[in-house]
Amino acid sequence: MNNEKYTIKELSFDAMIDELNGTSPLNMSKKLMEYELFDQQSSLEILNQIYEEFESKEDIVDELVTPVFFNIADGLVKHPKLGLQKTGITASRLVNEIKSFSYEQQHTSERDMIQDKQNLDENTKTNTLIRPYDRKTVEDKKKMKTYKENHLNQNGYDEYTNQDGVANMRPQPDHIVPLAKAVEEYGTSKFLSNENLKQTLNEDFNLAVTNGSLNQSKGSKSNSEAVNENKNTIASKQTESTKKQMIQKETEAKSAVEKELNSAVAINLKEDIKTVIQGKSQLINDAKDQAIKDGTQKAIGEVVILLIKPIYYEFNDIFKNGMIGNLNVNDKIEAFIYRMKRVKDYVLNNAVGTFFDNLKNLLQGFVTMLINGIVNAFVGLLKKILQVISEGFTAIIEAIKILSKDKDNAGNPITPAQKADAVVKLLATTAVTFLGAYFEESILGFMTGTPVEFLKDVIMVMLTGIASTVIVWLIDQADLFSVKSEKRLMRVKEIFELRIEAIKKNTDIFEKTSIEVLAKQKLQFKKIASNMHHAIENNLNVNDAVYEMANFMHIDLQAKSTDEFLALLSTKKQLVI
Amino acid sequence: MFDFVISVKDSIIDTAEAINDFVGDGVDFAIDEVKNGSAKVWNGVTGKDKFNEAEKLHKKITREYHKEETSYEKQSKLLLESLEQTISSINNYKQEIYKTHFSQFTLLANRLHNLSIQGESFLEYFDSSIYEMKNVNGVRSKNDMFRIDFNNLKAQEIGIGILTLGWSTRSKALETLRNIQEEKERINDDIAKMKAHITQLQQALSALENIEEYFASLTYNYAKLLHRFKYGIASQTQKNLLKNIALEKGKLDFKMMPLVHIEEFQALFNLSIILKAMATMGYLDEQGNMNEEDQQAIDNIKLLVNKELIVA
Repeated sequence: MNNEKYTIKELSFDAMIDELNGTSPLNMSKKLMEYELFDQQSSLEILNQIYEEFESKEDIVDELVTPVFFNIADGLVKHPKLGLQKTGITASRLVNEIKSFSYEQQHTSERDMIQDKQNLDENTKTNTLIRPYDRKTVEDKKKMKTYKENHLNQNGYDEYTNQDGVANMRPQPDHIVPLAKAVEEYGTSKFLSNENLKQTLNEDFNLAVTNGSLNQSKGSKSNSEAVNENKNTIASKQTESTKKQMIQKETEAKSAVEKELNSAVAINLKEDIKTVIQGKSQLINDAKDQAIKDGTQKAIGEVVILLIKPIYYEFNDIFKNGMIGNLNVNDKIEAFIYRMKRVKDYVLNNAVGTFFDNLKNLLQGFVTMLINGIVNAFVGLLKKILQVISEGFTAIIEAIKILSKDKDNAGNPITPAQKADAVVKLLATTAVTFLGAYFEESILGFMTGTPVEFLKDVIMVMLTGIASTVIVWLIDQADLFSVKSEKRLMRVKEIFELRIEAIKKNTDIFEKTSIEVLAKQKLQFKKIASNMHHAIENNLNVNDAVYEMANFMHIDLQAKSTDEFLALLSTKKQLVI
Repeated sequence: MFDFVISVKDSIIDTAEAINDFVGDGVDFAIDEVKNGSAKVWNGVTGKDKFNEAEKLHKKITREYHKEETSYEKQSKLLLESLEQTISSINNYKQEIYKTHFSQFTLLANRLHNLSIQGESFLEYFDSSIYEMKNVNGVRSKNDMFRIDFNNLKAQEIGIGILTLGWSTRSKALETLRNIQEEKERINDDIAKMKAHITQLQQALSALENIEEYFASLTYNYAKLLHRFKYGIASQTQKNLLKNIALEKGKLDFKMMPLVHIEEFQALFNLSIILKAMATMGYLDEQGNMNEEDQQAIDNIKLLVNKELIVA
């Protein structure tokens, strides 16, 4: 922040000594009273100005309106046809980087939450298998038959209606979790074979013997769909207890199927990991490929920003202050060379840091993709739970980073309240990003199939960005951790400490110089006055002492020698003082 | 609701005391710990600890500011009085220069050559209010800075405090503490200004005392030299009378004068220029930029001087 308007002009010891030495001793009191050891602003005015800084209306524009417009611009930049979406170059990032640039500041790469989520979604798509449904590959008629026979022999009741004598009602074995549905839902895992699916889906826990009529009515629907569908015969003709039984059977079967399939996934993953050394692990290879792809593009973006920042700064400075500006050089060519050298030095000095930053991002990306690959390998409820954890992985890493940081990029210490505030904002924006992605269909579903469908991604980026900005602004307004007053207090301390230091320094310089000059003048005067006194008392010529006194007091005399005085007496009839 | 929470807190303490009665004195320490612990937790949750800290700090800075302000007022009063006395003494010298020294010199000089000293002494009016420090505000009142008063909580504050699990009262107490901490920084600025102002007054007084000394010393030497010159003129007049040399228009002929008396005349002539410059300038305000008050003061002094002369 700018301290200029609060700054007290500092006195310089040398300048003040020179000035006082050039001042007539007769003007000393006046001169000393003229010095401003502090400005005329009252401390209360200063405090109110600092308060205004924190409460000014402009902040709403800076903190909310401008970022929202940048979010819109970001959406456009992110259009796939521009090919910039993975570079991390966005309007808001560019503007912020350029605005806050200084040669003293180190370049650091920034997280793009929306892009991270998109990368993750892309990885999920790669990890998702589109398995065509072929009943023959997943149906085990032999097992079904065995199950039916065993059931009829041992119990003989309808497993859905609980009625006895099902043997006389065209008994049929039903897949409680229908095969088509199961393939659609669980078949997406790359780490499940058709054999795994066939074996699990035809286990006893997924089979139920029921009468032919009910089974035909159910068709390829799941039990819950069949029960809840109004026009369906099951919904209208079956008793409530039958419906309840069907739902319960479905819940139990689903849980057992998922448990069995996830066990198979775990075994298959274990086998896959064993092939890492041969470089054949599908899990590792997929994660590696995408991390490299995403990381490379992000690295290109970082390099572009690293280059743009100082170049823009120089051009801006040239337009504002001229080619030479505040540089300590002689001509424009020298200034240009100096500026270009400064850019080159900055880029080179930050190149190593940027390289390691990118390497770190690459590793973080790899770990994220690896976790995502494992999560997508599993099915059902377990997958959903793991998904929440894995998608929040980056946020968790960021939160840990914030909590372990002692200073911000500008070198200011970060307090616990500021850390808590940053973590809350991070988690809130992460949640908004993921919620936006999950509800994309319900928000923008109406665009599907229309000529403007290609704008869906762009609008989603804009909406998520705007929502994140608004959320952050709202959290700021709520000031849950009283960060605003903490920051204001730090600012008040900074300003007043600067001012007090300047006042004390000025007072010190003022006192030292004035004591020194006044003592010197007093001594000088005493010497001249004593000479004068001596000359008067001893009937000697006093004029030399008088000349000295006039010089000492910076007073111009009309006659600077006795000859001049005699000439004055001869030429002027009347002497006027 | 708040009463309910307080009653829960009280019952914890009562229960602890009941246990104490039952078990005996051996657990006194534990009871005290529970009491202190629960009070600490309570104060921490509601923000009362911050409020107490704010009150303590407010008292401390008020006391410190008052001490500094009293010391500043005392010192500045003394300095301003000294400044006034010195200005008054300088005014006397200025008047004496025109009234006594210049008139004597003019009288003697005219025995030798036509000479006049124009102008009049510039008497300065000292208005201490001009040199008093402005823009110092002092410690603001509690009303201006306290966002919450735990000694007088409103029902609404209690209600919101409970609904937000103490967040609202806590954040208000923290805001209050920070306001006081900011006030501490602010008054330090005022204190630094006061100290700077005292230094400035001290140095201005030193400079003015130097000038007073210049007046004293120069007027003394001027009077001595005038005496020597008077003797020179008298002896030359005597010499002319003895030699029967007629005085042209009653004046001595400077061409016939010994050089030593011409040098004395020259020294007095130049010293008069110096003293005139000293007597016609202002030492705290620019000469020629007199304000109405200055002019009024000069007029009043002139009036008094004239009255004195008439009376005499």
